Amino acid sequence: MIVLGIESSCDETAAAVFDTESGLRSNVIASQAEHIPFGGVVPEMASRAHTERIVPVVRQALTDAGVTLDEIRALAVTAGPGLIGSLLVGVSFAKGVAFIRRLPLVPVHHMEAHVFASRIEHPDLAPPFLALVVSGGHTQLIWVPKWGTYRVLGTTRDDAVGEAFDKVAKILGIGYPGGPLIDRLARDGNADWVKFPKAFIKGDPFAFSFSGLKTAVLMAVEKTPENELELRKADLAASFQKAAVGALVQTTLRAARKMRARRVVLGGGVASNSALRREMEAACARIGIEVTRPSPIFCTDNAAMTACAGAFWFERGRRAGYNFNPNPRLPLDAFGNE
Amino acid sequence: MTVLGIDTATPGLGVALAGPDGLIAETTIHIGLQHSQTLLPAVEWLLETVGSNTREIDGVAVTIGPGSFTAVRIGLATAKGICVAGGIPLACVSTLAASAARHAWLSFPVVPMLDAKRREVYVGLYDVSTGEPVAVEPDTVVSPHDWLENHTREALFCGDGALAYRDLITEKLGAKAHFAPPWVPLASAGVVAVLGRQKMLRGEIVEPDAATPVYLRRPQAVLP
Repeated sequence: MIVLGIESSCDETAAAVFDTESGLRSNVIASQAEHIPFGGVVPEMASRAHTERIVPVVRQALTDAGVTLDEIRALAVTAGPGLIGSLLVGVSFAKGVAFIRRLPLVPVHHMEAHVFASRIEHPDLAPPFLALVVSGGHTQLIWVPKWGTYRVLGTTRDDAVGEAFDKVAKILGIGYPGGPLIDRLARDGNADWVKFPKAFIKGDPFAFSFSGLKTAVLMAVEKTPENELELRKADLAASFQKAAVGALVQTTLRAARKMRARRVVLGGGVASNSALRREMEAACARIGIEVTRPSPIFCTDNAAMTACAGAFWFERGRRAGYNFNPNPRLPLDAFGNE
Repeated sequence: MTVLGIDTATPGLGVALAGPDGLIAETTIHIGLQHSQTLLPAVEWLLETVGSNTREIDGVAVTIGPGSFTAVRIGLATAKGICVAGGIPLACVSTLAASAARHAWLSFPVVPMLDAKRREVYVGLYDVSTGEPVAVEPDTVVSPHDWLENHTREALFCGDGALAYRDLITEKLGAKAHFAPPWVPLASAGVVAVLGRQKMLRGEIVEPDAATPVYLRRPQAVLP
């Protein structure tokens, strides 16, 4: 059974073809470089770029997979959360295709797709597990007792962790997007140069907060003499990354112990961060928990994970009508649990 | 050849079907910007009502703007999906030209005005005296006050911008200003379907890969 997935929740226009028998057949991602000069995603520019790229990206995904629309059995499309203008382009296009071809349309939650991302390369991956989805827009700890059932244990109170990486990169003047740039710069830095605070929320043991950390970096930069700053950027980046990753790892472990999890599954763009992977694997190994993480190409926003989750839900009857509307704040249980 | 016309550029939603004898069916719904939910259900209903189905759609004509950015994209992205997956041609029509065309054969110009917010309007100046809308000036976005400083001829004003700035227009032009009656809808899918069909027959087809809305405004974004 072959599913075409379409993802346009933020600044990646993506399409992929997933076959429930042979696995992933194609995975096309058009990243929007036009946001780089602005140091962040400009929603209206993102919507415009999606409108221009959606057709070439979908055509490429079909060509790469060696299939035509005649072989597609269902369309999976990101229904939210995300930027509404961006979501609407993917959803409207998918609805047009579904309408004229009389194909079923399967709405997919973007966070759920990030959880399914690990299943693309690990088809035997089996719940229960604890998922940590970390990106520029999201920081969520999700308990997955079985595929298709989710319980959000913790989320961020302010900035998403990827957003904190972007903002710190801006403070350090090293560019955008901040994640990979800080990761690279931190390799040459002393992570103990500044002891940045890790925020934990009283009474909410699985919540995250990164806005105080960002402010602490700003203050440390202001305290650094101007002639030293260039030399200290790597140390500041490494110290920030240590604190951010430390908060993610400690909170994940606390939740894993509470849920008696035997496995942690990573997802989202920040799951590509080398320090997070290293620290999470080391900390989990110490208490006998296994870590599953997707390859970087499935960490960033992509439609392979949308198609993979869509195939799962297609077989369980999830459908959207032509009156279906994307939701920028879609709750994880919006379409019901399995 | 049956052409599906789609107009989502204004707070009115319009869908229509046109064939060799002109308009077959048209539906207009003025309930504000809910086009994402209403567009395809309206098309489905229209096809059912006329005893047709998706296989009988031979082309799609869509308004390409100016208008609400998001709303224009809903119509265009849906049209792209239908055309690419259906292997049928796409034609694009200016929202303002389609709006002006409703007043064909008028001896003085038609000024379609859409409320562009931020105290501006999307506005065009169309000669319809030959029965077809011919742009006298390119469509633009401007404050209605500035536009009226430079345009003092007798004209028919239509669109939600004309409603929003009716007092200002009357103050500047007096009896030379005429207004479209309230039964003329904002959305112009019927015109779009017929004009788009004519375009297709003339070979004026747009590749869905490259089709992009007419925004007339740059995105609001500030370089750091």
